[in-house]
Amino acid sequence: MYYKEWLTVRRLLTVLAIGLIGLVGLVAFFYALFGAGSAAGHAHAAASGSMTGFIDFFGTTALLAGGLMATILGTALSKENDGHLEIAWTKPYSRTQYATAVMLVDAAGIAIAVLLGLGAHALIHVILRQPVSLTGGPNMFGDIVRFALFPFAWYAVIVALSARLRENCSRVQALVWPVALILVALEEIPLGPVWHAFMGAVNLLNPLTYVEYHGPGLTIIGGSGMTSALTADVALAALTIGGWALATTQWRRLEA
Amino acid sequence: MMTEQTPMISVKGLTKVYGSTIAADDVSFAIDKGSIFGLLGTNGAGKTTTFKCALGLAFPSAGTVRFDGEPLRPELFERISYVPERNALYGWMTGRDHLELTKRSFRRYDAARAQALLDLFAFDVKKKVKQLSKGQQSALALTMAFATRPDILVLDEPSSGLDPVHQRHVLDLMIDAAAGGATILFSSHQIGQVERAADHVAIMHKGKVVLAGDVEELRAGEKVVEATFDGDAPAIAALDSDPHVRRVMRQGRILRAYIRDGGNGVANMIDAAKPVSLRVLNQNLEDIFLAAVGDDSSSAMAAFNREN
Repeated sequence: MYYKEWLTVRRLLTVLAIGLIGLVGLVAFFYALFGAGSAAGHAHAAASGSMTGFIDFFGTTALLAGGLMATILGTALSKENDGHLEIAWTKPYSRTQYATAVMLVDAAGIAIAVLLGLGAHALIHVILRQPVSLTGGPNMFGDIVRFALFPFAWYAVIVALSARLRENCSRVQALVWPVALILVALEEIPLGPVWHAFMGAVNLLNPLTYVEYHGPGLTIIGGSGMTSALTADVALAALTIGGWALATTQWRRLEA
Repeated sequence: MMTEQTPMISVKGLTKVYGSTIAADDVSFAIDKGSIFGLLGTNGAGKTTTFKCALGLAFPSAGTVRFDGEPLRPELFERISYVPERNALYGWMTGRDHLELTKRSFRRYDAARAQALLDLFAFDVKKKVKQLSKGQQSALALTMAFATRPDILVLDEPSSGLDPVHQRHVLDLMIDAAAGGATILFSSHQIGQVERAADHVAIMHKGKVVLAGDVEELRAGEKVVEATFDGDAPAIAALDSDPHVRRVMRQGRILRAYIRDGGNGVANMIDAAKPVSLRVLNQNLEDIFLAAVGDDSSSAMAAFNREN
């Protein structure tokens, strides 16, 4: 049931791993060429306590590696709908079981991608001699959860948007990031409380809203002032579950 | 006391409407265990729609489908294999990946059987599907279908793209499976294949089943008087009123009368119109098919002949 999706995920993870190894290699190469002179500076920065915060480190990785993987995998059901339903739906499993298996495998793939990203990111910090602090602010746990949940919520939104599509799923992949960013930016425009309330309501369904973060080394503007980590955690979890449910409902109603 | 056997596949009143188009219109047939049932029809007759509705790939607008007396549920697919008309394989996956997918999905997957089928069709399973020819892709789909030793096989144009040798293999596989108790529902544009393999047929036209029955009984039921004339075949009014004549087709110089019995009398009637040649034939399945759906095709052919 999940084998085909696992092959897809494995293939993507292989490409991601190769890309990350290449990135780490490039960083090491350029650091060897140009970075040796600034090594003393880095040592001084570390000694003076200018360390990368853990949330900055984790959040950046989850957004990039997890978000990228979620964007690619998010059209899994749509790709089945592009000429493969006769294989997918003639197995001894219900459509709900099949869709759930696909999404769980994809979720595992996203989690592995984030771990790979964290490994590569950590290597880069080692090469650049930039220590990462393992401590955080008072909301550290909540912030970790929201950044950890973001890729799954992002995946859920894409899978819900694309589950019914047959051929145009790549358009969803191409547009989802710009549209989400534009929606966040639109909310920032000072056009009065009505506008702000409207865009705030629209952005409730935008996972980017919930990763607004202001840290020492990382600032992500979400738009709605959703700075409460707990609220963001709950909202992202709801988006994840809701997106999966919506995608499954659409999948159940499709015809080959 | 005789007990009536439950059909392995039972389709009753199946109707599928897409917008204003009735793709399948009150389709009904029943297939007994171990039977090979051929579904014939022109393009767009509703065969694939019938298959899709029967297998839950599309939602019927009306009607019921039962497999071995039960409505379709996902677990039944452990006993059912389907080969769609249009290749549904994953282009980026290899043949081996597809067989592994089948193995992991069906408890009944038989690795030895799969290997025997691979040997029969002789294609490279290490290649990605997109690198295989259309015929090799069909062979892979058939290997996946037969490797689980299903009780029910639904094959939509199973020989599509295969060379004549492999087409023969497919027929042999179907006959062999039916001999082992499997029930087979298949469609094909190649009437000769249907005639060779099927024991029962249904002919669909414009969404409806226009004729169904035992192949031998259908063939024995009618004869064809075929006459060729110097010019256009004449209209013989007496034929239209003759109770033995079921249907008359005129196609350029050729006149065919489909008769239930009393062949000699009809032949004499046509002979009186001085044809160049005249013969009385047993009907084959192609005659039966064309007689069932022939209005459109014969008028189109007549128009073609007039214009050329």
